[in-house]
Amino acid sequence: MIAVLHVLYGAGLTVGASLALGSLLLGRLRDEFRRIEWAAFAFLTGAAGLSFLTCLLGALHWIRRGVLQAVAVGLISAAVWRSRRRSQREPLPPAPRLWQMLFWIVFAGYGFLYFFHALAPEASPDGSAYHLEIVGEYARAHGLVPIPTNMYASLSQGMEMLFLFAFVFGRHSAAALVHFSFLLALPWLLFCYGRRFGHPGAGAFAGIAVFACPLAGIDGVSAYNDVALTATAFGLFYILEIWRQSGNCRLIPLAGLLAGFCYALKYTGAFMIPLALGYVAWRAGSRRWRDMLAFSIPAAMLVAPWLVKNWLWVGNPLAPFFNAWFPNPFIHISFEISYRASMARMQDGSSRWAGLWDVLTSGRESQGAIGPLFLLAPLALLAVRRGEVLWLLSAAALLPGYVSNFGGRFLLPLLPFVSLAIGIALERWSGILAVLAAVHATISLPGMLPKYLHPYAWKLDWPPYAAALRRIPEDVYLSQRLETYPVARRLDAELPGTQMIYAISNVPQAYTRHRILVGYQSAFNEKLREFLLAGIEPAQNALREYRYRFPASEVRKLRLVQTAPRNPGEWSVTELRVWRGGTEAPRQPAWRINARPNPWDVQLAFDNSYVTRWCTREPVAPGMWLELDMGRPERVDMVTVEAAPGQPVSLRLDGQTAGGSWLTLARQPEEAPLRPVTGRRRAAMHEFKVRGVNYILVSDAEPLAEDLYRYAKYWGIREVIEMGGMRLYHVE
Amino acid sequence: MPEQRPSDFGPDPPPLSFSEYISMDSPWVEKHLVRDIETTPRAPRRWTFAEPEMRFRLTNRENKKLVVKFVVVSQTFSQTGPFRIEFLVNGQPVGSMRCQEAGEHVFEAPVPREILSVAEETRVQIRVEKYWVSPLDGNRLGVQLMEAGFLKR
Repeated sequence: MIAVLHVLYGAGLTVGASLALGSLLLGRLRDEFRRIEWAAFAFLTGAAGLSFLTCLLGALHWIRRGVLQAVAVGLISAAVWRSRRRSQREPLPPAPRLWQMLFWIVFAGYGFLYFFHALAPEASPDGSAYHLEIVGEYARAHGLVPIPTNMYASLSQGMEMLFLFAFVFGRHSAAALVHFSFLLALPWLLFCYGRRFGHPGAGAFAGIAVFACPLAGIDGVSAYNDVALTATAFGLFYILEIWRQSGNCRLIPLAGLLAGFCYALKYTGAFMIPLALGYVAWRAGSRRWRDMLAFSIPAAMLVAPWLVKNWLWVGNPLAPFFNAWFPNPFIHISFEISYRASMARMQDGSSRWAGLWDVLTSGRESQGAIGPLFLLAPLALLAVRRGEVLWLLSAAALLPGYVSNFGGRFLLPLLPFVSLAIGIALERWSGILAVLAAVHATISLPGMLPKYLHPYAWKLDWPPYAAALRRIPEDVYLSQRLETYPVARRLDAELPGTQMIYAISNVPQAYTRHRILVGYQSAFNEKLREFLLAGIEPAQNALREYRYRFPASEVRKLRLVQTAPRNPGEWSVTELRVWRGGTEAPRQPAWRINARPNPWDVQLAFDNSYVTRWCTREPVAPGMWLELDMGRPERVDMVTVEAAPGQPVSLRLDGQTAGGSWLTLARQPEEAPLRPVTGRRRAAMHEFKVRGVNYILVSDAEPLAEDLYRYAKYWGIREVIEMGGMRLYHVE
Repeated sequence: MPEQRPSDFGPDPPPLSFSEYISMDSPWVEKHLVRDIETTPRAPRRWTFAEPEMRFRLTNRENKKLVVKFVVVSQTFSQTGPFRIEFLVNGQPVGSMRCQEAGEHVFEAPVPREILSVAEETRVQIRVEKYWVSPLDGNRLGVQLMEAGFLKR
């Protein structure tokens, strides 16, 4: 039970501090908000502020219990002190009795179910993987630290900052409960919006539609960020509507704060900033520039930390995307191209229309379903006809998120707008709308979902009450939900310090202190994967030798230039060697090497290893080059390039004479088989070792597993843990 | 110029292939299973279905015997009664045995070198005279395999 209290304390402190900070930020605007909507806006704006504050504390490495408690207590005390003055806030117009009843039944019922789900040990796919892995690493370091081996650590982390605040006290479940608080705020906002703007039935309908939405439910009780973005984006829209109505320019900075928070929560929220700024510019009239500035400053404050952090730590402010604009050694451009392509198409290869059908009714390919109620989404256009331009724009601004990623989660930010619009379109038939809401709430119950959703859809079951109250120990519950959780715990129990573990098969990273390196998550990890694969393939099968012969010449620099037209393929060189009189010229410490693109890996073409290679890591283009500067003119008559055959390149060898002029030495190489090379397994492990990666984790089901097991001595590895069909090897 | 890696990191092992003998709880048993054998990971006993078949790769053909350890499950035996089980190597019968009771059984029989393959896979087929037939889906269960393959005579 003490564990539950820790969880509740961590989440409560975070939400309480958010509410307190929000009430201070709303300050003199208290009377602008009606009675019950004030709390929702205090929470949203306060969460944005607390996220920013936690980021600053993290940058200073002040993430400690004492500091966070002092911050929370200070904020709450100040808010209580300020609230002494009684405010004369108007009440919102009442909602019809039927809608009040329906809304409160659904809100209370689902709220109860959701609370116990959020309180249970966190076992969601992304929460137990990267969201809380990163938070855990920050918590252990008492602040923000670079994690260049995980691309997800470069995403904006506004939500992770709130998770961090809660995690320090209540660990994983406290973080999930913080996200749950956004889930609670969302229907509240919709209900209030409807009442304030003359659509009480539509508002209540929208609140029910979104709150009972199966995917919103499971996402909102997990340590994710989609529902937080959904609530914040709608809150931003709501504030702009209040501003349009009241003309109170003090609302503009709050809108800016929420717009910036949309970006901080999730990159796909970035589109809300230009939308809102444009709307402010359009509606501001003579105060245009002043209002735009008042909007932009808080928005920039929320956006800037993540741009600056990425700029400083991974050389790309927009990491892990746009690497072609900001080339860096941490994410390969080639990876980004394939990652974007894979995210933007359905996993089963079906069309996006099939994907939409899936997200409405099945949830298999979309990783969860929003429910068949949203088949009525086309009705939203009827409401738009009434001149609700900002709705349409808001939904349009959030649509690119779904276009870029087929996951149903990326549709969630659109749902408040779509639900409200459906509600308004049908509100004159209140009975039909109420029946729709009731049917949606009924068929979204955990017991009903298996009747029509795909068995593999991500969906909620009935709450695990015993696990939530820790009557079932957390370890037992998590072992049942996450197959490899026991392995993660065993890693912590048996390995000293904090190790880098290359994971061919993954474990829930959030439950180990060790840094788990997953093959695709960074350029560093991607190279480790290539070393392993190179280890099992005989070099003479994988590589060829290309000999560029030319009359003996005195040259200082040699440059291999790519001249073939653009091609989506890549160009790689495993080794480049220089020869004179049939003997390889020994490589000298004074030699300098360079390449364009990807200069960071150029050493891999000159390290005498047959498991490493320099590679463009982006589509081939004419003019790419690899260069050796010998520091002074040397007499050479051949250059050999050891590389994979069949590359989409045409290479020309140029040389720079002592006078500085360039001349072409050879255009056509002779192709020859590579001499037999042995020991590539051990060579691969040597590369692991020199990079500080001392462990490999692999499931027996992986294709490489048998080779590692049977030929451990050839790899130079030793099995240290065997558990549940997984093996951990130490690189000797 | 980077640190130069050693030119020789030692020898390579022989290419990894199917072993000659396999236990059903081996993590790498699946590649030995051609058809009609349960593929649940790490199962120490695997049900055979209608026409079970396995594959092995032998390093030589001399003095080999086929060994199959299996279990006749009492629940299925109570319906099938005693039955004969026949073993074939590359389609050629090498022997059979009659299972008179439930429990563990071991079949062993020498295999003539002429029917064994070295370069190619050697296939082992099992034919069960009587199956237990599921009343639900008509699925046919035979015996539960524990170990199988070729050992030296």
